[in-house]
Amino acid sequence: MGFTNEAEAVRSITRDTRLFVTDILQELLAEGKSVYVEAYTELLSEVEIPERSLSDPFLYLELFTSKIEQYPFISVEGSTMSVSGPTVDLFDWSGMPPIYLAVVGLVGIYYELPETLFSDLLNRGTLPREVTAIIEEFMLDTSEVIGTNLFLVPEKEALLINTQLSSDNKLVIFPFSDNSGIDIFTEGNTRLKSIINSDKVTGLLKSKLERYST
Amino acid sequence: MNRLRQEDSSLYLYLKDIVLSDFIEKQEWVPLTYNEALTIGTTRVYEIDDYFDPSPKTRGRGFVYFDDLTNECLVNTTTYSGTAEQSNRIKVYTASGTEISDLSYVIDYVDCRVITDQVGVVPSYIDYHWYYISVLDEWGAVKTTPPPAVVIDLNSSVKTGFQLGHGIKSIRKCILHVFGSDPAERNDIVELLHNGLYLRSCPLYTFDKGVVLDSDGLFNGRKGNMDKSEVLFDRTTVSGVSRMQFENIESRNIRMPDTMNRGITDVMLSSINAYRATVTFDIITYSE
Repeated sequence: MGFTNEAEAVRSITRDTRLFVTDILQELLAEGKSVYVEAYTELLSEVEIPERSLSDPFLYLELFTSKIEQYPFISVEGSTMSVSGPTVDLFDWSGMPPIYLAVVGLVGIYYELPETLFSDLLNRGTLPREVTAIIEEFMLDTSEVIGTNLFLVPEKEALLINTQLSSDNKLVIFPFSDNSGIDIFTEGNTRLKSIINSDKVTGLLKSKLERYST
Repeated sequence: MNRLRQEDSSLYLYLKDIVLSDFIEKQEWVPLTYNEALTIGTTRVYEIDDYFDPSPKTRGRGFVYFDDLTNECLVNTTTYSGTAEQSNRIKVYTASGTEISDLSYVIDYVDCRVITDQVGVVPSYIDYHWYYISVLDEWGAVKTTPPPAVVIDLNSSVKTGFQLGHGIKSIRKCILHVFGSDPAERNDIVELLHNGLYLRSCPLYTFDKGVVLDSDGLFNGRKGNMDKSEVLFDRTTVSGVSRMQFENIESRNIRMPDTMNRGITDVMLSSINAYRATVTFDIITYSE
């Protein structure tokens, strides 16, 4: 029986310690997370966005912010807790493929064609079959944010489509065409590292210990 | 030439001639066509046709300008003054199959042409080695060339001290963007690049006498000089600076949105984007 109590005591201490450290890390991460959002807005706002673009990073800012909030910064394996920031491969890009393409880069010039407008063009029956086949090759699932999917159309086909559209409805260029990739995580990850390694952590640990011990 | 450009050009040479040398291909008995439009006076131009895909003439490829560099000293010493232009990578023949002496023509390695002003010499066929992988130094160029391609992107640098007194440790971040024709080829290239960088280093050249090829595609210094043995590519290294050491090498594939990966026939027009990867690493140099 004594052994069981000891084991339980150890488990209890481990659990408390984990909660205690997690509590501190969450406080620190709140500051770190805001850096990712700032980097997102700063870096992507340097790109010239056409007026009617459906890939405007500000349209996807709320979704990005919520995904940063949900990102599992803290991981626990056995008795080890670790903190790591998002990477291009680990971050959940669902719902925001235009931003993913901005981050990984895209070769070539493309134009945006909303699925709703594509359906209208198909109903008119004026697009050659080989052009519709090319359009269908490159669809981005953006319905969560802008309410419709987005096709990225190569320049040559886009110019052909534009001849069939009125001046206020012409396809606009995909703003992240022909870019080699915009790094939106390094700044946040550097900041996160410096926060974790800073004296602030020691200070927080001390103050929390005092609070827990009373 | 400043340090950044020296590093960029040295890395370019190392990747193209050493690391990716497994991807040098050979074509034999390819017909040469006389190009009248490019002919000036007695100087006649012959070129290969564009029936290969990718074509050796596309940007970042071209004919191979050095012989096999295995076991070659790649740094100038008291007994070594540089690397000679190739002597066995390209053979030019007459219509009857007789090999033409390389004293009778020069090669434009970029546009894959044979140029001669010798009366009575009519190049008709050529055996040549060419770079299958396009190596480029700017992202913007990749859309004009078919895959496979590697784009070198030196993007940021940090300089710190490394000893008491003067001395600079320079850390340059580099990304290699890899574009394959299919997943297997992309993976092969990435593995080759990773192995070619891991625990390796390359010399940092001064390029005081210029890069390997002139702007007209001829071997540097060959214009007006028909004797290959008299012109060597100078491999003098930058004094007081270490070799370029490669560290923190990481490679990863880039996944495109699902609709782009439905099969090769479906991604023909966007195929340059379909099978991509990056290899990132730091270039470390120490200077006194």
